[in-house]
Amino acid sequence: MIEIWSKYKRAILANCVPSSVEANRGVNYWRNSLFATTLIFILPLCFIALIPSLFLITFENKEYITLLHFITIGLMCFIAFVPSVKTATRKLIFSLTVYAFAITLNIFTSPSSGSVLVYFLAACVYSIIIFDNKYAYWWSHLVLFISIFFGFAIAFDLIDFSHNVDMSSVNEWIAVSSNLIFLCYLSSALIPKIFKGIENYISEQQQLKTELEASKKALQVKNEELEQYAYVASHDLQEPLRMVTSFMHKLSSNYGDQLDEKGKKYITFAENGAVRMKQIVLDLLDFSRVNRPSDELELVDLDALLLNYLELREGTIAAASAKINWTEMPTIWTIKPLITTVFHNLLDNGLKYRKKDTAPSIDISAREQNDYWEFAISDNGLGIESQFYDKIFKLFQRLHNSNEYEGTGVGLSIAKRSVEFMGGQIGLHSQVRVGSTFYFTIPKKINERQD
Amino acid sequence: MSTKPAHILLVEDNEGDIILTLEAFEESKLKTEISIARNGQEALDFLYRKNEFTKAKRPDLILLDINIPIFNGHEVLSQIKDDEELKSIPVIMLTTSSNQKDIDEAYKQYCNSYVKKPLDMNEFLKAIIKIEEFWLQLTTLSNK
Repeated sequence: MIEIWSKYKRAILANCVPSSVEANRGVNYWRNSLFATTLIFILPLCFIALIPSLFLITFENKEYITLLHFITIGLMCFIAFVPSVKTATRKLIFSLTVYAFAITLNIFTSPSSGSVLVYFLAACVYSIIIFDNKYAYWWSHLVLFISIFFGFAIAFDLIDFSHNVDMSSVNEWIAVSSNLIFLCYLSSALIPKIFKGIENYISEQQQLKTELEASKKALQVKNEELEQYAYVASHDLQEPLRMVTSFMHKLSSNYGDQLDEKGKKYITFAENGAVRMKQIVLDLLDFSRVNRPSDELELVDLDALLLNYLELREGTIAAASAKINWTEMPTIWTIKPLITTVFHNLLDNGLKYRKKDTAPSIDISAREQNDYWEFAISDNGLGIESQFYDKIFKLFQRLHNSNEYEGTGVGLSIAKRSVEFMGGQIGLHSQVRVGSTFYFTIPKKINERQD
Repeated sequence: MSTKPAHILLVEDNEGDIILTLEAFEESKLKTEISIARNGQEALDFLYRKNEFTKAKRPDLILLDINIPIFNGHEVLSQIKDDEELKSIPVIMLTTSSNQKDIDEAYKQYCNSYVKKPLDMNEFLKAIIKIEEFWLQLTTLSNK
């Protein structure tokens, strides 16, 4: 039953709401929707109304009313179900049918009693609503014309009103219909104003939407350009840098014996500068890569990730006799390159900023919360004063001179950006000369998105 | 007074730049004494005679880089210019940053001039000599 109803609804909507209008949901779309919805409910009501109509045939011998009723039902079915008829034509047939119905009722009931006039007003207002603003006055003109026609009909007895209960006088008719005409013209003047306002608002919204789409696209292009730029820069900048390092090297190996201490020192500075610039360029490239949405979610075994880190940094760890401990790490849905970057950067820092006389010891732990995973990486290193907690995450911001601790000041910025890109947060707790604990969270909701 | 060498505090973390600046001062005829702070913390310690700088002398002129560890040049500058004792020392921002934001901020914090480090070696030497000529010869500095 429900299926038949929805099929019936779909059929009428398809006929009355052209898909070309649907694309931008302007006022016309809603006009057509309203019209379609009206049809959907009017049709069953038409059939229900047949019952009193058939009653009239049986007891009052008013067959013509039943005949008119059937004609109306036929027209309604036509505009609801016959395909490839313009919506405007359907609407016109509908409105004219309602007007005709009102005229008929006016003939067969007492015109001056005014009961049918409500029907005229409703027909007029409804037509103003479903048709374009520029036709708004036509429907009032039509009411005016019909009223004048009835005025003449009553005055000159053009129509036989004899079967009505009471005869109408012209004066009564003018008194009643003038009110109707006034209300109709009032509606013709006011209703289009509302639609005008709504139309303006909708077109404004549409324009904003179009502009938004355009700037979104432009931003995407810019992002791609920027990434391309970073890529090209990283490769093209390496080239001249290599020239500097290799020829400085050649200079010191071929002419080293002709140089004094100062000269050799100059060469070292030049070489060191080139090496540092290379690192900065590479780090910047890493930093710019964090924002790539192309990376997909996958199941990442953090145990394996950490074991892989141990292998990768085997030399460094052995040289510092460092210990990296953890108990049972989970396997989580996340973006593998990003989570790897975060762990690598934080662990690298733990190994790097160590106390000169103590072997680094790093503990890694994971805690499951309701909506997220919380990870902690604690070291026994230098520690950081609380006034610098925010600062260390800024790009190129360093707390040490590069001759003490190597680095470009990009690592923690990358870690922060990566964590935030995955929807988490990063922070730390630290005590100077005791050690630091970096915390970060990875929300589980991105896991659900995957499921 | 005139025989006493001018005392300059150079706040700079790049060893190469330190050497270059020192050598530029060496080449000039003027007698200068140069102290070096390698990050923002050291600069402030030096000025307030804290930690390893308890015997530091008050500088006549400060050359301040922006991109330095711990406290950056802007932070050091605002500390100096907020301090009744220190604000009379001229601070010259000597930096590679040509970012207008850096320049505007430095002047807002009352830096005394802003000099971009020239990339060319000879230009760099000239710049240092000009700074020296203007601030240590032409200008009369406060001795408080």
